[in-house]
Amino acid sequence: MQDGSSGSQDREIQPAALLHPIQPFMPDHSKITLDPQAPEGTRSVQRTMGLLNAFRYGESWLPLKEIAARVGLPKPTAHRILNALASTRLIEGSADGRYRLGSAATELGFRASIARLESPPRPTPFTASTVARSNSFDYRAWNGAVGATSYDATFEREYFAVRGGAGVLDVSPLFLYEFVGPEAEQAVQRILTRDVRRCAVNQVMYSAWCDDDGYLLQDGNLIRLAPDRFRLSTAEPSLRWFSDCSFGLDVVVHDIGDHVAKLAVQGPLSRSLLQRVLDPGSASADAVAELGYFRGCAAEFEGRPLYVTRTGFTGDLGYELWMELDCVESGVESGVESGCGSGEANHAPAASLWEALLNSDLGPAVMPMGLEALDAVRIEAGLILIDIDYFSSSHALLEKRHSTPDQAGLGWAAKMVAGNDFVGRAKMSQERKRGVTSQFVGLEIDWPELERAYAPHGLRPQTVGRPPSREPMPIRAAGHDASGPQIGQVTSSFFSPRLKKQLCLATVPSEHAKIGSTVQVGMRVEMQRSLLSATVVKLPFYEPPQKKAKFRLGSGGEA
Amino acid sequence: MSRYDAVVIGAGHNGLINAAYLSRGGLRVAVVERNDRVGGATRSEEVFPGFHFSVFSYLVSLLRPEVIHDLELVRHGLDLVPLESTLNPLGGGDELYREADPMRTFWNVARHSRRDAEALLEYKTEMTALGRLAHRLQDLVAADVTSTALDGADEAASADVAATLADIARYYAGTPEHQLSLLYEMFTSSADHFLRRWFETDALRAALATSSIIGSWTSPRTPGSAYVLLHHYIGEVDGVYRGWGFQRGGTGEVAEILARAARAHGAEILLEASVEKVAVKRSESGSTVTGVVLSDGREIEAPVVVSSLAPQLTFSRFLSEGDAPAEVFTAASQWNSRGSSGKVNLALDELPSFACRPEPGAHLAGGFSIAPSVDYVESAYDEAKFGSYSRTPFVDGIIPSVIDPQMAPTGKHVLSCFVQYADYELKNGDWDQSREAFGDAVMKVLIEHIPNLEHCVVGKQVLTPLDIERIAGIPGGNIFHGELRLSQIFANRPAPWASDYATPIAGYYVCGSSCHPGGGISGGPGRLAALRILGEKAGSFVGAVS
Ligand SMILES: Cc1cc2nc3c(=O)[nH]c(=O)nc-3n(C[C@H](O)[C@H](O)[C@H](O)COP(=O)(O)OP(=O)(O)OC[C@H]3O[C@@H](n4cnc5c(N)ncnc54)[C@H](O)[C@@H]3O)c2cc1C
Repeated sequence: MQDGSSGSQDREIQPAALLHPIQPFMPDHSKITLDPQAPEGTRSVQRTMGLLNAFRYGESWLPLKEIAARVGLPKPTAHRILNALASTRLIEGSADGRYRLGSAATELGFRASIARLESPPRPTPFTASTVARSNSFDYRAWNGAVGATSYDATFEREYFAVRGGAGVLDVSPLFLYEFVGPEAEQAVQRILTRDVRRCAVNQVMYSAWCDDDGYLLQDGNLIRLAPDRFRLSTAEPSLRWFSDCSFGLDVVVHDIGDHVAKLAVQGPLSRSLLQRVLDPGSASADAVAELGYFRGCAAEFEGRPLYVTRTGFTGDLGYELWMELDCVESGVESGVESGCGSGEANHAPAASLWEALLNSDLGPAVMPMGLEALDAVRIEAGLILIDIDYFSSSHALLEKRHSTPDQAGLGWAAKMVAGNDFVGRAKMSQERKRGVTSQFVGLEIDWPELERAYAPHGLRPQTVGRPPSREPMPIRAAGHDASGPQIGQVTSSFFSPRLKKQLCLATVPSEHAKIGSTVQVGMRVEMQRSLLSATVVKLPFYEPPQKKAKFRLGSGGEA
Repeated sequence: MSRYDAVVIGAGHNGLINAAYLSRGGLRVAVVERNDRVGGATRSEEVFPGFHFSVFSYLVSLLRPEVIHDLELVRHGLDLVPLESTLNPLGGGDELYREADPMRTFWNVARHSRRDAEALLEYKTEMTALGRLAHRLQDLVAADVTSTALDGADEAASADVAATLADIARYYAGTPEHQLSLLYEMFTSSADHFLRRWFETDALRAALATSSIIGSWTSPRTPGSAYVLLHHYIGEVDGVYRGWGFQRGGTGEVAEILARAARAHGAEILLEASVEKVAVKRSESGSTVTGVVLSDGREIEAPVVVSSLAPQLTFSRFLSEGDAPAEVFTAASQWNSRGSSGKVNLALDELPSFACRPEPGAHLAGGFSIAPSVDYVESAYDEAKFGSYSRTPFVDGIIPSVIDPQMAPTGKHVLSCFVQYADYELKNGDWDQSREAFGDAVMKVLIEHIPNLEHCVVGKQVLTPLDIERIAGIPGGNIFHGELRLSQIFANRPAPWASDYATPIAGYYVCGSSCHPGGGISGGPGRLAALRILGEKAGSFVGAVS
């Protein structure tokens, strides 16, 4: 160690991993024997490989002395090659003269392992970055790509980070469509249930959309970039539907999902984080700082344009960043509308945005966030999830699986005003006249009730610390025992460590949907179905003041 | 002169909880607090500009879920973040690291001993089961099982005790024999001996045994220390017997939240109102409380007075001779609350970097503990026990600013160190003279394991047992208001004649950490005492509340 500051310390402290090396599951290739007959080129490759192989599984920073000894090279030689490697980012050097494998090695390793897969997932602009942060390698399939389930063995740290600091989530597997043309507004108006004529430029509108029968297809956010230019993000592929609906209008619908890196930055510190990372001092930095709820603005990162919206799926202060990517191949006309042809988008700027966000001086208050933590906070936020809380009518096989926006709690987003003639409107009005039979509600099971359910087993409530559950649970009317009729179902459930209650998103008949009414949820308690009393409460379960707060420049504003 | 239905002495968390419950029960309540802020041993303070500290207690786990629910603490701002891990640096770059995921911990421990790694899984299960058994006692009023039950003179009281005992018996019926025997062992054995049943790795026994000495004049090899271990396993975050939680804003925020809850129910909190005397009317049939007298001469009348302080204050100081039987004063003077702990709060201008784990990582969001071997802790005890302090002390630390960045300016940090041992009664000199040397001893140990503390400390607050006494008002500075040992728990806390929170003086009650179920930010005493008082008003005895 070349640390001059602590002269009193002559003994070199070694990382624990050196004292008790994890049994290497790969052979050790660090020791090299140079063949004097071999040409210098070969020998120099051998030296280089020896140095790269000096780092064993689980080891991070190593002192030069240790590396040189392992490879069997003189220190000056090792030093010279390591520094050359550092210029390629295969190796990274520290200020105090230690080294570890660098980010180019991560990328190389990532590509090498992907190259061996029989059917690799589609990479998002951030996949390699997320893998480099994952302590658990726990991913789930998401639209042909993968999303981290959680970065640790458990999701809790990420949950608390997004609730108390900020979480950074790759949402690039979402689909994104752009509507461009003089009649773009008419096209989105035909599709969405909201009255998009009221959507100003740089405004975002959350909306639902339906099929001809008035059944819910999807829900998503619409961004208006210009009078004649909209973007709509969706959970499922929708180009055909959108194009069909645009029939006869002077508009073109582009599928731009692959060429836009999408990143959610959520939590009470998200604004501070963006103020640090998005080119402070640039003209657009102020606009981001003052961005209102469900508004968008242009911003810059390292001189590169991106678009920021104050939106998200966490029910807290939060932003989504949309960064358009260039094409790798030169010669192909760039720009999202035309796409990259057969070429690939260049992910590098997205990756450096990710690194900048996660290496800010807010330290560990900012964490990468996985889908399990997201599921937890979106339940707290009372946000409905497609194919969990409702089926899209595009693949609801049975009649009873369909839902209308009214049944899914999205009735407010269907504006039956003059001129807002969206697909499915006629059927929806008919249904409204008949009366909505079932509704989407929030149910709370409080602590004493959980204790009561577990007491016969001599246990404290066991739902604590568990990831959110998507196991459907039957609902029975209050006063009935388990043989009573099932009147509805819970579709998402989570014990909130913040609210100290079991939260459930559920569908119940309208007569049970009033705030304050009680129903019974059939929860699995120690392998038995137990009925727990639950109260209908107003959604969202959790809404911190900063979620919709107005920010002025220079105001802290964080909770 | 003002009048209330009840006056609560002390706005520590127990006093506040007691007041909140009493107000919720319909009484007009005033809390009188000597300091200029609420919290007592649960307070936060901006000690250096921009650096906020949980001055004394630093983690929350014992807080009863019932209290959280009944007083709607979440609505008032409760926000506990679980502490996920504990790092024990062992010196020479070695470490013992326990993480949230039991199987990660398994492999970390397996580096030292594969056997112990498995034993740790078993141990956790066993302790959870034992915690579950002991948990029941936490929610019971500790009826005086020593005297009243035996003489039978007071039929109603005997029936109460009988009911409590029957309730306990019912609860424990069917407990596997080996668990009862373990429980018995916990009450009597030393922590080290108890842990030897499972573990061969000395460092692991030391790491686990630290829970047996916190706040106590015991060492891992002192008989009876295993009980303190159990006391810590009763703690829970949301019913999970493991977790220690960190309140955003520091533990002082817990007190502020409780104060909000109490006020929401109508309680008044009077700050800078120090009680001098408890006013008592004597008569043939015994003494009755009539109110309190403050040091500035103000008098407050109330038919109910509840003290959250230690017996030396509640009885010896606030009462006059003749107000109560002589045995009350004798017992109070014998109450053992000799402090054994200190605290060092550091302001840092960079993240601590551990010799064994120099890089920043998840471990910084957890706790750390300097107790590399059982001998280390045992000799720290030996160094202090004859009226001194440890030259190489045991340190239990957390870095609150990693969990809650608002505790320190951006990029800077606060480090909280709980330290043992430090004898309240110094043989040579006094604590005002020895404070600095004590702080230096702590720094030396810290720097050995966290070398960058040598140059990154920008502020240092050293708190001795004397400071705990002065600031929090705990006589002797014992963090639990009195040793948690067999002689001072359950019906003996603070004494058999006050174990059910009612003292021999009619209308005078106790509700602080010196009562059952004891110290720590649990709210147990405050809550149970309030239920007892309200029950008495309603004409029923609340023995087995749960
Ligand atoms: C250094 C330290 C670290 C600790 N760490 C932890 C921990 O991490 N986790 C944990 O759970 N517990 C911890 N504890 C223990 C815990 O903080 C205490 O057991 C608990 O806070 C005591 O609460 P209480 O309400 O019973 O009494 P206190 O908090 O002591 O409150 C008593 C109040 O009475 C006031 N008072 C005193 N005299 C008078 C008077 N004459 N008139 C009016 N008011 C008066 C005091 O000012 C004080 O506000 C720690 C304690 C200390 C000292």
